[in-house]
Amino acid sequence: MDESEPLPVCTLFNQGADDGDSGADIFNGPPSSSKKPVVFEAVSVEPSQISNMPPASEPAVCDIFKSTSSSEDLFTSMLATTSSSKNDVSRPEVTIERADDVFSLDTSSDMTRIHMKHELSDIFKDAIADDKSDESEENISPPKSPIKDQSALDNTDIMASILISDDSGDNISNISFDQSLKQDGSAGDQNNKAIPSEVLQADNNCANNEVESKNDNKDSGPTPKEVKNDLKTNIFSTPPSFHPVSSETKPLDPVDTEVKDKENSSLEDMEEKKTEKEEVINEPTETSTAPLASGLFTSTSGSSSFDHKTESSAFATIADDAFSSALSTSETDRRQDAWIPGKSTAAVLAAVAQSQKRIKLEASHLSRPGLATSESLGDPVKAILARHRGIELASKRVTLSAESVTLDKNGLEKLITTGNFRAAVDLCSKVLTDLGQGFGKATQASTHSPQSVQWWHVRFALLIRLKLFEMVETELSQFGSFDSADLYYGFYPDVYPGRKGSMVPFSLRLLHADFPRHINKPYQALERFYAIRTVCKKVIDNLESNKSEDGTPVQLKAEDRNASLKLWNERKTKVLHYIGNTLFQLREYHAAITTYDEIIAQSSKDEVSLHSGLGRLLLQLGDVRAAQHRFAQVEKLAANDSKYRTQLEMNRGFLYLGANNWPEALQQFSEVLKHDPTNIEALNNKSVCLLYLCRLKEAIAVQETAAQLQEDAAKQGLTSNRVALENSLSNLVTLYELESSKSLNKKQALLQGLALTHGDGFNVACLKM
Amino acid sequence: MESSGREHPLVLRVMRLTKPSIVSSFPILFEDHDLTSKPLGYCLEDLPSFGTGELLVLPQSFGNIFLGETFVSYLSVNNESGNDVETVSLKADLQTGSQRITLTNTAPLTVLQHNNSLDEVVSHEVKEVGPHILVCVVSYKRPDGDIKSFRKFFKFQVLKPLEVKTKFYNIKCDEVYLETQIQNIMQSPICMEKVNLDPSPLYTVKALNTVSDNQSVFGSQSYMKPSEVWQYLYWLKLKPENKMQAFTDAASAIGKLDIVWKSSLGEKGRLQTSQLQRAVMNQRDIRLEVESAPNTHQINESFYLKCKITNYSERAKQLMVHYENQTDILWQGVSGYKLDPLRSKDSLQLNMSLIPISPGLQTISGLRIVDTELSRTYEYDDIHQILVLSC
Repeated sequence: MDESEPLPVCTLFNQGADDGDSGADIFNGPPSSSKKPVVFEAVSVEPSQISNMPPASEPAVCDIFKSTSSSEDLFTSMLATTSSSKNDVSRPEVTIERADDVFSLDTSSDMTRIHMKHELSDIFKDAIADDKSDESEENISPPKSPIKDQSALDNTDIMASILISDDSGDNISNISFDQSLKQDGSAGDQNNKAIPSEVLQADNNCANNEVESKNDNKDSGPTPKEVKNDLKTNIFSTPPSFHPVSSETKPLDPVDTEVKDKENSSLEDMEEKKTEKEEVINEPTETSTAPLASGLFTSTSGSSSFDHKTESSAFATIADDAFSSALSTSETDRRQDAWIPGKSTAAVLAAVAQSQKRIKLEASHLSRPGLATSESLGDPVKAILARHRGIELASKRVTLSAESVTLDKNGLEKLITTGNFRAAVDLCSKVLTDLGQGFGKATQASTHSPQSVQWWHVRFALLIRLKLFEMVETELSQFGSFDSADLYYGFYPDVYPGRKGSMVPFSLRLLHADFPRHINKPYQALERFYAIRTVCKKVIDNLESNKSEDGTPVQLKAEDRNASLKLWNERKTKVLHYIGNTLFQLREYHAAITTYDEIIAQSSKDEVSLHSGLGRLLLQLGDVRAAQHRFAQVEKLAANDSKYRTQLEMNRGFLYLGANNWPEALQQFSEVLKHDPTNIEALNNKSVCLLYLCRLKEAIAVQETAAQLQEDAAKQGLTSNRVALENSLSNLVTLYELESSKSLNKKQALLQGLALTHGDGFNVACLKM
Repeated sequence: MESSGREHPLVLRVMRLTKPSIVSSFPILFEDHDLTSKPLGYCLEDLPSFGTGELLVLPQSFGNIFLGETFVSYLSVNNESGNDVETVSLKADLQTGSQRITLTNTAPLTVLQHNNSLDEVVSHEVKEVGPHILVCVVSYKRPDGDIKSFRKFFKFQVLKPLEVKTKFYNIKCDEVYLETQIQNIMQSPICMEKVNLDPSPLYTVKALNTVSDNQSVFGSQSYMKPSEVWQYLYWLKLKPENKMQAFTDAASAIGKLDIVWKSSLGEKGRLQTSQLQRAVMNQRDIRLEVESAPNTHQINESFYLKCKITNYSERAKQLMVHYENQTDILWQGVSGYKLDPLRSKDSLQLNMSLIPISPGLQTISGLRIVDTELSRTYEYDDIHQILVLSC
């Protein structure tokens, strides 16, 4: 029901049983009508199924999201209990793996610690569920200086990648880690109480080990963060620790500084010991082997594993943008890019902002996207044309391809406006390959830029439009919940100095949230939408309490603030729309209507269209009386306003449909056409009315007019309503099938005409050939 | 599929016309500053993120048809011969399990030209479940003057849309409550337009399906989801003039439920149940009704129970009253006294005294009336309930 996609099934009773001229008894010759009604099968989504669909069965993407957030919570409260001592460095989350023998030395103590932590996590699980402190985002202090030791970091990255390939997971494969153990090494507070002394003890030991072992090139404290259940149990190698961010930016404790020094020394150690084996722990939900954070900076150091030229050129432009237009666009950028990161991400960003050298990163802090296929998507229109009209004719069909346009925004626009969505996807592939995120690059280090994320965005949108959902699912999941630290400008303080917010366009977040609807997981979609709405609300709250979007206490100029409020309120409304749509798909009509009404209550801007839409929704549901009520409201609101003329006439048409009054409905749709003769909806609906009035030939004629008008528009490059056209064509094909047993000829003729004007994105399925 | 058409110059095509559906849009939107900003999916111009479009989509499959819905079908006889065909007529019947209904029978069309068609939309409200067969007969005249015809059969099943369960609560001989549970056993939600109890002539009815301020008891949700059960309650009363028929068969038929619903785009369905029958209260020759009695009473203090005895039999009765004592309320006075002869359809009053000896809600039972001529005993238990208060 969410798809306007025509099914390949025909409504006709294709061919009834035929007894020729003989008058055989009907009951003896069983009729062979192929369209027996199938009992209890027609409906796609059974409510029972829906309710049986537990959110738990959701795919990795969401799990990542959940687990990180919960682990953060867990973490913060863990810290809350542990860090009354100054031994922050020794937080149990610190994860360092070095030599194999560390295991032999420390395994037992690790095990105990793991268990203790597990208990702790149990203890706190409930208590912290509500703990949603917002401090983390307020902690982000203005970036200071770019990270100094980049070369060092880069080297570490190399080391990490070597080690990743050099899989030595067997060392720990016999240690059983609890899958549910989710610890997070992020930020935390220091002001807290006691925890079981054993734990503290263990932590202290651990700290000592760590510090000592650094000098021996043996990092200690192998605390498994999250362990994959399968054989390849890699341990995620990270620098020892970073400093907690407190709500007020306090000067660092002497202890901390000292430790910092030690960290530095350990960093050097690590450099020297590049070839030493390491294991990497993965997030169980992450499909990639996680590289180091420092990998992100490879582009500038030249040690990267991907095409460096394009990468740096992309960077150059970004950098230019960032620098030259920083002043003029900064307000708009800040407004549009604003996003409130999850706690763990916020902590990483804060650490980057404070120029800490050793930032503890996990797989979940990084997105490692790559294309799911290297193949071009081809042109199904051509293929079907060749099948029906011969290869010769098909070869005459020339469409724009990714090769025939420039590798940029202009080329993309060209492909999209000509309806060559598949070529546009190919174009995205090319650009993304050049940006180092091509086929096979998933899980590998690459750098994000606003451009790369935008190209991904377009790619996803196009793939969804083309209904290539499997590919979207694979590629989209690589981004997790679009909250990894490397998707924030703050992660690259040297590339985007002073810029804040996320590179992820808001519409991409919506697309990501909306996607599960297409693969029949509407509950997951709903969950994501509500998460987005929460952020929108937070942003609006921040703005209203005179802070900037992300909660930084900055005094914004009045008009700036108002513009921002406007944008974010619009965004929030958009999210509500999507929530309503999802509820509608879930057949929670009541909730859907309530949601749309909420939109109306907030702003009367779209009142007329919304009430009209709700009227149609109610009509579709069968609640004719309520629909009448809505339409009456529209009549009142839009009376004497000529701009609503079409809307009013359409509404009346629908209302007559609901009353089974086909002649009057026909009249109303014809009225629309009097002043808007190219209105494809009105044409299509008129045709439908004609059919129900036993005027098949006229119905076909009207539908053909609609197709012709769209084709004319396509020739002028004006089509914006391709999906409507596909639906109207699908109706036309149904009419052809009813009209004659030789409908195939007509369909082929139709195809031939369409092939002249339509790009490769045309959905040939609507022709049912 | 083509082969049968070859023999005849005409081809019959049939399509079931269920209501069209409204297309759902799936907005794929961008913001202005994105790489590309035109929406990709189908969406409304004025309201791009709204999920219900304005485009009607023809039914793509036969779908299900339910009892009470209207079967509508488009029949098209198309001339594909290349020549004109003369005297073309179309007849369509619907064969159900029990009857054959003619849906259309067109007058012969003198000439049907090439590529022209003889179109007909037939409709029929289905009133039977089970297999239905649409039988179409096309006849025409061959160039040599022979009248030829061919038939086509299209079979479909009519399914049951609702599960209706009723339950009666007899309150008095002339009052009954009817509880009706209606379950939607279709796969799509429906909107109940009307659920009425049309009472039989003996009864008046009051629907008890609204709460104080005329709000439906079903709340603001206007539609019934699949497999949901909605419960309706009706209060039926025998009209005063029909009271004497309380125990006759006539009183057992209380009426019919009339259910009208609408589904997708106002597709209407209507069902009427068969006559609902309630079990008539035990028909007794001698009927006892309480006329007056206290609802509460102090323990150990006598009270009066005033009853009316009616002789519903065809003959006069000679009756005798006995009391059988119960544990908590005791009968007082003489047991086993004779009453005056009671003529047919006559009644008399009885005044009896009782004393409660246990506190709490007590039931008055144990009255026995003996027909001395037939030596038949009528037992009256559970006559009345009284709340006995302790001191």
